[in-house]
Amino acid sequence: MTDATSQIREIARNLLSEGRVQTVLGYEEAPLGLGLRPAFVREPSGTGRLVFDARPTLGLARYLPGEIASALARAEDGAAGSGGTTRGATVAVVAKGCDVRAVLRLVADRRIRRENVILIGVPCSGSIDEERFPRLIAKCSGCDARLPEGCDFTIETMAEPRPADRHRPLKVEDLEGMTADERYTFWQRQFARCIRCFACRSVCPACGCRECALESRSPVWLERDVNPSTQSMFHFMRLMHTAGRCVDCGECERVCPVGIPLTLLTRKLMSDIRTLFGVEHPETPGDSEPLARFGLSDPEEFI
Amino acid sequence: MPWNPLIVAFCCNWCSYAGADLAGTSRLAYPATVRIIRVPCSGRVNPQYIVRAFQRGADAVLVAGCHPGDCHYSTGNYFTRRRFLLARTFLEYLGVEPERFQVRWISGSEGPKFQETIKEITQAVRALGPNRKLRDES
Ligand code: SF4
Ligand code: SF4
Ligand code: SF4
Repeated sequence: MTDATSQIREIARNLLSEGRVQTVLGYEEAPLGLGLRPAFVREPSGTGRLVFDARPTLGLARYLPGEIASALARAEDGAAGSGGTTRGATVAVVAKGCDVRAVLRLVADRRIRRENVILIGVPCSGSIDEERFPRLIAKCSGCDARLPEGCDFTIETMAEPRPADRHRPLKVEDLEGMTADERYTFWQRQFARCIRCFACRSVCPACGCRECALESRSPVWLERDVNPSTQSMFHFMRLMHTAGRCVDCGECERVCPVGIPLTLLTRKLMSDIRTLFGVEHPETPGDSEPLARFGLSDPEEFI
Repeated sequence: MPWNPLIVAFCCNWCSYAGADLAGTSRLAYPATVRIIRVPCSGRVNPQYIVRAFQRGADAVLVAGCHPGDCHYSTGNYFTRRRFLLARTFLEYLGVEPERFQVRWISGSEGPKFQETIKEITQAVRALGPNRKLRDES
């Protein structure tokens, strides 16, 4: 068994040289030792750049709609010239378990077609950067998506889960045990740090509206001025808009530059969807999401 | 001036608004604490409306619609029920007292229920005092 990097390179080289894909989305070394960054590899000769290890990586699902659209456009141009067809206009993507769910989210939301993606699944032990920050990142604690499912290729690696971290002191249940005022203070302190960079929204595979309500000028839902009230409105909107479609990839929290524990919010919604509506796996993309339907026997608490 | 609670009530056109109307024509007295906003269906109420009402000074928000099974559009209020069960637990998680956000089913013939509901919520909010949470004070 060779390491993940060699296996990914080989699969990528074959896919590109056989013309089965136009792009392989993977990771490469960022300059200055800044970790792994997304790589768009379009030639077999470029596959030597691809790298994969346990260092935290940006989920690549967000790139798929754009990359597939341009691959299809290129293929159509080519087909027009040679009288051929648009077959083979696909993109391959390197994905851990959480990333696979993100890709399937895009498929379920009809933003991409499954047949336009080739999934190269990598079993995952949890993201960690031994040199720079030798702790499991928060989103990986308690993750049950380490073995990617339903992929076209699966890398063979040992994926023994790393032990859960100690630096995640709070869980959803801890907050539920507080009084309303304590919770309010807790969240106001968290939201006060938010610089509204929108990274949490931009990275989210469940955020796909062409016009985002957060940026709407008519009506204005989110005022530009920053105060506790508008900060709360922002977070309430983002969470409500992704409720029932969040895949628990934890990318929002991982990219947040100011360390707001956003999965404490997404996981609360998920656990309520589970208990209130009996949806066992709200994080798994399906045909009809929990808030796009209803149950005649939903709890009747409203009298 | 003594403080009086302010309740924003989103009432569906077909049932709850008619229920409020009936309370009025039947001369059923209830506290003047409520501002009614008529919506086509309780399913039309976006959870953002609740936060917006709190931002602009509401002490409590009520969403009222037809009883499940009686929706003018057949199923609108089933979506309402699901959506606001979740929005309610989430608002609570953010620290808003559960008494400040309520959902009720009030039919067009239930004038007295409308009256009772406003009385009840007014009482509950009086006990809690003015709401400052989520309010835009800038
Ligand atoms: S969330 Fe799960 S699959 Fe994703 S990086 Fe962490 S451990 Fe791996
Ligand atoms: S990523 Fe963090 S700082 Fe940026 S908008 Fe989201 S919560 Fe705020
Ligand atoms: S809300 Fe966060 S955890 Fe959920 S899908 Fe979006 S980025 Fe992933």
